[in-house]
Amino acid sequence: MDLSKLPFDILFIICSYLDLRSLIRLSSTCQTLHNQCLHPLQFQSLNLQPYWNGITNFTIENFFLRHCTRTRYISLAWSKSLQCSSFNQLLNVCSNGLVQLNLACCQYLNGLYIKIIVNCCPNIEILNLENCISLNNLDFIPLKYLDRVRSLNVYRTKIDYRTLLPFIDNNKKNLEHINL
Amino acid sequence: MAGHKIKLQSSDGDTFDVEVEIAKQSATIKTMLEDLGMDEEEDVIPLPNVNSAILKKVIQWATHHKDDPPPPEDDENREKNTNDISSWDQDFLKVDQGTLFELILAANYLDIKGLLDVTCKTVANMIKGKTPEEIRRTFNIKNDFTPQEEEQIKKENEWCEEK
Repeated sequence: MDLSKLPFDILFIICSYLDLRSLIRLSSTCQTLHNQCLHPLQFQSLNLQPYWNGITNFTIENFFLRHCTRTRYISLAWSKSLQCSSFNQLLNVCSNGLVQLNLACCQYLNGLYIKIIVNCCPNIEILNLENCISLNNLDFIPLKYLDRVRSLNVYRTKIDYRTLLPFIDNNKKNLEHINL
Repeated sequence: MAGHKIKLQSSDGDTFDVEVEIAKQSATIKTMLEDLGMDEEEDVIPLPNVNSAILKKVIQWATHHKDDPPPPEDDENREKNTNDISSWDQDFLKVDQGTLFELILAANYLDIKGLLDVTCKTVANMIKGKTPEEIRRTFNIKNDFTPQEEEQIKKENEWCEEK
């Protein structure tokens, strides 16, 4: 009996105790583990902030698009410069399942990215846009089309009351917290 | 009921007398006793997937943990803690890898969540912080990628390595 011959459900439990880097390293030891360790359910909750330096268009397209089909939470905080097309593809793959999105300090975000969020992920409940300083007040307008938000963080952004009020109105059912 | 015993039979035919309350940490055995109405006094419960060396270890573990509160339900947060293994469990799990994997399989078959968790955590701790090559050496894993595949995977995985 060796590690790679353990049944999938046991390997799955072991993998669920690993940090992302150890999981990825384990998956690159042999074919069997590569096929078994990277199940989309291992990527349900994905905090990529510690890996911000490695999160590039290439990484999104060659790794995460394949593995994020069951992702419910993703943090891209501090990531440097993702193109609209990679960002769009990633959120499309996460789609309705995504309920929590952290984009704090993503200085490359503009109005187009906000539209992508609203279009791809209508079920978002927790959204963090803290310190996204390239966003102008009008860029926040599409946020009003979300209607399940519980928590919005727009600390240190240029959002203003004209863009915030319609958002609050449409989300008042669930909204618990706004950080200005 | 205290002190009530049942007989468990290993795959190689040895039988063990075990207190019912200890044996019931195994959800599999609990179900057999409660749902199938097995007679505790008379019947022997056969466990064809567990040999006697492993069954002995499992009983030893279950005896030590008989007064534990039921383990909490899993949540879906990654980065689960693996540093919370008690020193008794750490000593108990200082065994060779073959035994450790057999304990995992037994805990899975017998459905003993606490033992399954602690053994899986132990394996996770043996993986954490190691490079792929070190993991291969630790678990005797044969690298069966072609050089091209290995290059490709290395490129895809580069994001998680510190620069």
